[in-house]
Amino acid sequence: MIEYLSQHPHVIVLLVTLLIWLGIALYLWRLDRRLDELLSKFSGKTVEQDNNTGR
Amino acid sequence: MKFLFYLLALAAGIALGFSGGIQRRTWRRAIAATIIVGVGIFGALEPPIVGTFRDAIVEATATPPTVTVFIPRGGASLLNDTLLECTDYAGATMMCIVRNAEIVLAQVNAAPMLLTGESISHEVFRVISTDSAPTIMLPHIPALGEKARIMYFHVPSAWAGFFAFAVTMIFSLRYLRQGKHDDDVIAHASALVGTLFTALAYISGAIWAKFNWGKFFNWDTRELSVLLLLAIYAAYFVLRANTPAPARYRMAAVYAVVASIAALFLIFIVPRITVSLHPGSKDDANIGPILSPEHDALDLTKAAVFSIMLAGFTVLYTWMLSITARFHILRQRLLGQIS
Repeated sequence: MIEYLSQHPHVIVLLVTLLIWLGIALYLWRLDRRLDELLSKFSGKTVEQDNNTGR
Repeated sequence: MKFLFYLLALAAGIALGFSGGIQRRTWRRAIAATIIVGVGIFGALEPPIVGTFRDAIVEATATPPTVTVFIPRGGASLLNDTLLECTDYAGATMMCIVRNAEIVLAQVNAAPMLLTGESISHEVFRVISTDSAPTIMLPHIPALGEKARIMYFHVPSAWAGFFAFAVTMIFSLRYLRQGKHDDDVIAHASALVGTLFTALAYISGAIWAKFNWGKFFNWDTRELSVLLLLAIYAAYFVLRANTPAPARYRMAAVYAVVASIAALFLIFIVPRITVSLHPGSKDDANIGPILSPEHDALDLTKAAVFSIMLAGFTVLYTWMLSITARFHILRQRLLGQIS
């Protein structure tokens, strides 16, 4: 693997580029999931509150 | 000229990224980041890496020994069947040994062309293959070859990381002076995004180091200083997570200001005053292609692509900062409302 990469510098460039985009994509995906959890938690609570107050 | 490109790119990136305020959603950031980084990727991946005869002489002792040289229109004259007097894009001349009819044909048409080959002496360049000339090309950096393209991703990532830590300091100072809770949230979000970019620069640098210096980690001063920087910001998150709420924000803000001073020292001073594998270290005549005042390293194509990537990563950072900050502000408001 290392030998193959040493002989193909374009693949190393591609690997580094993909790594950076993958890191950014993973960060955004995780943030998106946390936002989803927050929204579902919030909507669940408001439904409870609405039920308690009878509205 | 090159430094003007860098400064303009940074100014444009910061202006596009911060206009309208970090807490507001704007399509400007998304569009600007996509266009700028897209153009930057094209610039970094598409055009061929092209050197001068001087690069070919330097490369003759390194691996791989082949260098592509650009011969401008009318830059070569036919002397006999096998020898051409060639002029590269820097204006240097050299005798080229060729056994390829294409070259003769190209010469007859006086078209610009690319010659790939190696220097076999200070006067003679042996041509291995030929190609038609592209519209734009990236200049060769001796001993880096195609791997030089990593510079257009690795350095802007590191820049975005450092810029993020500077923004953390600014918003922490604003929080300490004005006490606005949103400033603390933006400082925290910026530290998160900055740590991500610094970690990506660190990992991409480690891969580059493996294929240029032989090991992923070489106990190099800059490698160590950035690792320490990551540890300092990891401690920032630990401090925030483990301090009770009223004291948390002020303590984190003070820590962020002190950490940014350490960051300045670790990024700009330590690698310059110690011996390091990175360009620009103590006892190193080579300041590196980005900051070098030498004509060969000052190529405008490279400076333009690098500047586009600097601007692109700056806008990309502000976009990610805006999303992260708005998420944390929303989270705190919602949790405060429902608990």
